[in-house]
Order: sequence, then C-alpha cells, then structure tokens
Amino acid sequence: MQNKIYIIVGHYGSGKSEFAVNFAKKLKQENKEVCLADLDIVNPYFRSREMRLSLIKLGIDVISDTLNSVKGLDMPYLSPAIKGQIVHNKKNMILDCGGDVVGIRVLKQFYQEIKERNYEIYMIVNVYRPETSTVDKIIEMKNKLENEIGLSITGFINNSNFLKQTSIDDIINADKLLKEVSQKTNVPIIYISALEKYIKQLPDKVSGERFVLNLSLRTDWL
Amino acid sequence: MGNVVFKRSNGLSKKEFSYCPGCTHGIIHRLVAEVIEELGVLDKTIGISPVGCSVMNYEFFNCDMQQAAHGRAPAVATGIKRVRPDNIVFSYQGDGDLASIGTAEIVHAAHRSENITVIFVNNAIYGMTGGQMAPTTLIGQKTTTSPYGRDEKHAGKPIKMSEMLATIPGATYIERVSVHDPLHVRKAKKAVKKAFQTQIEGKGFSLVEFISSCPVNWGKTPQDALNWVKDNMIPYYPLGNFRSPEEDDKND
Amino acid sequence: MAKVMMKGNEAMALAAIKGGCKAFFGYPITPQSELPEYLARHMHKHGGVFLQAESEVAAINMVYGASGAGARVLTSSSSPGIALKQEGISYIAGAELPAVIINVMRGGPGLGGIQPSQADYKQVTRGGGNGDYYVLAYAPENLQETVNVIKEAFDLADLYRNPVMIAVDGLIGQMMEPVDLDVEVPKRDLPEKDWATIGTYGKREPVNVNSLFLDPQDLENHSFKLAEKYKLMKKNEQRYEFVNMENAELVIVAYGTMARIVRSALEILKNEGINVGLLRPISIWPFPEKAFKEFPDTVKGILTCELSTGQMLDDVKICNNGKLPINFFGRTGGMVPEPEEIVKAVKDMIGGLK
Repeated sequence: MQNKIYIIVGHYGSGKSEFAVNFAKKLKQENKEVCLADLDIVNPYFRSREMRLSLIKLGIDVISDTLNSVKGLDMPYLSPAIKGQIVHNKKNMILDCGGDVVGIRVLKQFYQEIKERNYEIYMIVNVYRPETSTVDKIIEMKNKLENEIGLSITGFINNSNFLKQTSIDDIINADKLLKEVSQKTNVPIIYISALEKYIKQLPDKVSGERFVLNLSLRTDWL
Repeated sequence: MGNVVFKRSNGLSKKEFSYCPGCTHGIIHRLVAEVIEELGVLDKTIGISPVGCSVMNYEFFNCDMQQAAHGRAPAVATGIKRVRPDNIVFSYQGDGDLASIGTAEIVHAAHRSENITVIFVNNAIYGMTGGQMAPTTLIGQKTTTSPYGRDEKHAGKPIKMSEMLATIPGATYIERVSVHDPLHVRKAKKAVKKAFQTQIEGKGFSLVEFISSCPVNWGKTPQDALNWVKDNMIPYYPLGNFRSPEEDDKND
Repeated sequence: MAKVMMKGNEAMALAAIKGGCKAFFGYPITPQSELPEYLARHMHKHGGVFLQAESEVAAINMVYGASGAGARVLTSSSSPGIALKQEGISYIAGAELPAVIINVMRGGPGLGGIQPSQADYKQVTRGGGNGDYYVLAYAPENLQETVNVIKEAFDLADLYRNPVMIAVDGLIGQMMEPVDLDVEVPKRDLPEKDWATIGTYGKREPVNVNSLFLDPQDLENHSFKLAEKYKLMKKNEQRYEFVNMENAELVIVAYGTMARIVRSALEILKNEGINVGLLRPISIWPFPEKAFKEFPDTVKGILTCELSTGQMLDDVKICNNGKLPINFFGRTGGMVPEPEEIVKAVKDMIGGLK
C-alpha cells in the first residue's frame, strides 16, 4: 500500500498536536511505518516534539528542528530531514503544523513535493474556540488556510471540547455545526476525537469515525 | 502710558527662568512659547521635559507638561500623541538626552514619523551633571571626562544628529539653527514655527536642532561663549534645512 | 459571551479590552507574543491603539505618556523584558500614574530560557526600579481568575494611581482553558483624572505629570504620601485562598501554576490519610500576611513550594515570624514538578517533625 502524508492544520489551540501524536500511535498500531514531523515554529509550548522520546520508543520517527529539541527551543531551526522524508517516500508522514495561516506558511517550501505524493489535509476544529465558533468563521478559516498552502483541505476532524468541563451535549452541538460546514463545503468529517469517556457515550448520529484521544502533552494536574 | 512693545509670551508661565547667565535655554523657551501662542494651539499643547538643565521647564511653559526619564521623551511623546492625536505634542531635549542615552527613542520616533515636534538643544556638553563630555563635544574640547581634550581615537568624532536623522525615510522636517545673534534668533523662530506647522498639518516628525552654549561649563563669558558657537560649533554643525515636507511632496 | 476555549495569552488580551484598555505598547518576547499579536488584530475594532515599540524601554515610556494623558494603558512582556521596563515602572509609580503590566514569566537569570518559571517573584514584588515604591501584584492560577483580575486591574490602577502587575508563568500564557470573559468583577468608585495632561483648553491651569522633587522635604512628603497609599493597599487588597485547612497538620504555601500542582498533591495525600492544607496567595504584593494568623492550631509546619529556588520563601518567613518550622520545595529553570514530588516533600517534612 502506498505511503501517505497526513497534514494536520487548523486554528491554533484547536488540538492539532494532541491529535497528531495520537494519530501517529494509531498508524503504528496498524503496523505502518510512521514519521511525525513537527513543523510548529510559532508555539513555544505544547508541541508534539515534546513526546519525541516516548514516540521513538514505540518505533515512530520524530523530526522537528536541527537540534532535535524536546522543550525550550525558541528558534525555528527547521530540520532539512523533513524534506528528505517527504521526497524519499519510505514512510507514512504526519506533518503537524503550527496554528492558523502563520503556522502553515512553513509548508510552502514543500509544496511541489507534497503535490506529487498521496496526501490528506485534515483541518482540526474546536467550535468552542472563538475564531472558529460559527459555520461562517470555520469556512473563512478553511479558505484562509487553503489560500496559504495552495492545496485543498480533504477532511475535518471534530475535536470540539472544553477539556475537563466538556459535556456530551457540547460534542453533539459541535457535530451539528460541523455537519453544516461539511455540507456547504463538500469536505467530509473524518474523525470525531475526544477522551475515551466521551467517545463511549456518543450517540450514533454523530459524524466521523470515533477517535479516542489520550492527552499526552497536557499533564493530568493541568 | 506708552504702547507695549515687548511682553512675556502667554506660552510662558510667570515663573522666572533659573538658567545661568548667557545660557540660551531662555531664548529657546521663549521662541517655542511664542510660536505655540501665535499658532493658537497653546491650550491644546502638551510638552515633555527631559533630564538635563531644562528638566524643570515644566515650570516655565504655560501648558500641560510631562517630565520624562532620561532620553525617553520621544517615547513619552509617542504615548501621548497616539492616545490624543488632536493635541499638539512637543519634546524638549538636550544633547546628552537625545544624542546619547535616547538615540533609540529619537531614531524610532522619526522612523515611525510620529506626528510630534522635537526641540533639540545641542551645547556639546553635559551641563546638569557638571560638564562631562557629550557625544556632541568637539574634537579637542576639554570637559571633566575629556580632561586632555576630546581625542577621536578614544571617543570618536562628534555625532551629527540632524544629518543622521535626515537619512530616515520617516523624518519630515529637520532643521539646524542657532541663537548666537538676533538675525539667527529670527531664523530660528521661523524654523520652530515650521516644525509645529508640520505637526498641525499632520505631516509627521519634525525636529529643530539648536546650537547652544554653556558659558559656565565652557569657562567663558556669555559673549565669548556665543562667539565660540559661531567660530567652532557652526563650522562643524552647519546650519540649515536637512529635510522638509515640500521636498517630500516633490518626491511623492 | 458564553464560555469559550482560549489560549492564556489571547484571553488576557481580550480581558484587557473588556477592562476598558484603550492603548497597548509592547515589544515581542516569548512566551507572551500571542498577547500583542491578538491586540494587533483586535484593538482598533474597539477604538484602541496598538503600537509595537522599538524596545521594552520605549514601550513602558509610551505607557507613561499615554497614561499621563488619561488613557487606560497596558503593556506586556516576559521576565527579561520586565527587567528592562523597571526604570519606567519606577517613574510611573513616582508620578502616580495608573498602568497595567502583564508579566508572563520565563526562566532566568539573564536570557535564561522560555519555559515557565516563578523566578520573577522578587522582581515583581520588590521591583528593580529605584526608590520607595511598590506595585500591586497578582498571581492567578487559572485562566478564569487571570481574566477576572486583569479586568479588575484597570480599576485598581486608576483607584490607587499606581502600576498593577499581573504575574503568570509561561504555562498560563500558553495553555488552553475554558473561560468566560463576561464574568462580573467588582467595580470601584473612581475619581476623575483631573491630573491628566489633555490640554488646558482654557478651562484650567496647566497640569504636570512628574516624579521630580529636588527639595528633600518635598520628596520626603511625597514618599510618605506614597507610603500611606501602600499601607491602604496592604489593608484592603490582600487576596488569598485556603484549601483543605481543617485539621491540616501542614500548610503548603504556593501560588500560580505551582498551586495547581499542589492541589493534585493534596488529593493524593488525602487518599493516604495525610491532612495537608494550601494557602494560595492571589495577591503577592501585598503578600497575604493576614492569612498566617488564621492557621488552625493543628498546623505543625509550613512547606513553601515555588517554581524558583526560593523567593516567596522570604515573605513566608517574615509572616511566620519564627513560629513554625518552614521547609522549601522548588523546581526552576522551566522544570515543572509532578504532584508526586510534592507528596514526597510533604512526607519528608512530616517525618522530620516527628
């Protein structure tokens, strides 16, 4: 089977990195070769590279900056190995981008190489973020992201939550909103991602394949 | 009773100047005050006092004033002007204040073309702190921290602020003047008026550099000090216009 | 506005707008840059001014000017940038101007690092500026509390004509949390700003914003006047929270993110039958000295926990006045402990007391 590139984009703070880390583990469990590239040069905290050591133990490659940092690097120092992996096409790749248009600007330099490969672009949405809280705002964000990279978003991930204060109704309401976006844009909802306790309670009508999220970047006490 | 031929400008308070005999701060204050009054903007003007001999000029100007930290007057002026764009804002700064500790603030105020007016008084010495060398001190000039005369190998050459600021695209009006004789006093007033007019018309950053004297720290009589301005300062710091709004209009 | 998910830095920015902030002057620094970025996008929609200054030094002096001209002003930075602003903060305190300053703390000294830290405690509560002055300083522990205190801070700054600093560590700036921006906060009765330089317009005598008093008697009078103000703040503005104090054999003193970790540690200890309380200072200046008089008799010792090598510790010692034994637990440089490390520090201390 052909290797794929999964590009994770969206509004910042929508949960891209938590999803990317969990998604990498899921692909690995399906016995696929996985390389996670953390392209977030905008955020200084809560980046998927913080999970480098535990992911490597699971056999998942992690590339980010030239210093292979885990925490504390303020400089972009984008690793040239990222382009290498995209070109060599030896593994499935997850490109975990920074938030908003600013966060995906870095993708532009890989535009030609990505276009030639089999790729998906997933836009993560938490409808409880003020700047993606309505159908129009989500579509506006989608258009802005697509304009920046020149490629089309191929699927939505509904990651709507209030962290520990989430209720099932919150997720159901978010699903209604995102369904409308999906109908208007003709882009499918690929996953509905949430903590296990919420996934178990979800009614059948909620769109998207169930995706259990185990928070790894955010510690229990936070 | 005869006609009044000379009176205190309304732009000045009734407080007597506290400056040394022969110091030109008094003349410069008066010119600024007259211009503000004549332009009809006195009641909406906000001035900024620096650190230096004119630190207490909030006592002398008859308008709202703020006293700023050393060198930071252009930043303080920026803060005021940005929240009160309809007021007239000027800073009054010496050469230690503007050309040494406050270079970043003056450069960036010019660079943003803040719509403010800067009165820059250059007397080639630190008057307040006791006659130390300034960045504008002339080569060979003796001060308490250049006791053998300023040596360019040690302290570099005197900085020319007007020329430097005129290279900044945002600078709208820059002129250097002197008040060593009545003719030059009248020319200086025209420059001050032009600077404030530039601000009133919303055209951006204006600065007038005054070549000034410091008889006490130079160790000269007031008249000798003015002669020294003419014979030594002006040859190094040529008077004239370095940037004008008309020139910018032409280039647009 | 209902509850939304926001990142700390952007929630703080929005809270400032809601608090009536009309001008922001700042300079980029990690980990607070999303705050000015948010205001750059939104400030003009609320009739406010956003300006990126050439330096932190310039920014705080722009704050001085704008505040002196009567506007509600904010600046934000992180530790090394706050160090640069100290000169201006001293002038603002001296000239009795209101200003709100947000400090999203990172590790130091020097350039230090960009991860969360509480190593600015002394910089915040004692200041790096010259002279007899203090700033009102709050150290909230979650986004809701942070947002509320920022909205209130503008009133407090106006009321006391004094700088108010909000000190949060980088984690609070960077994390996501549900927050309601429209929770009502106490409003103060504010006098008119008749001292502001807005032009006389022929209606009054000129006013002067100033911190210069060359006559020592005048400066002493001014300093005593400021001291009276600080006394009033100490009386009225101490803010703190007690958690689980009933029958506590030990009290942990911790604020901000450290207090959140301590909360988790308290749960673990409770399950093991160990009763430990938490005193969480919310105002760090004035430090909640009143709280130390309210400890129950069961308390046999105090454990101070900080994301530093021990700075608030000195205030705890002053308030304790030699009464109870005090231990310290701290991680620093951007290292954040797990609750289990605090559990161990508690057990070590209790073991030592027996």
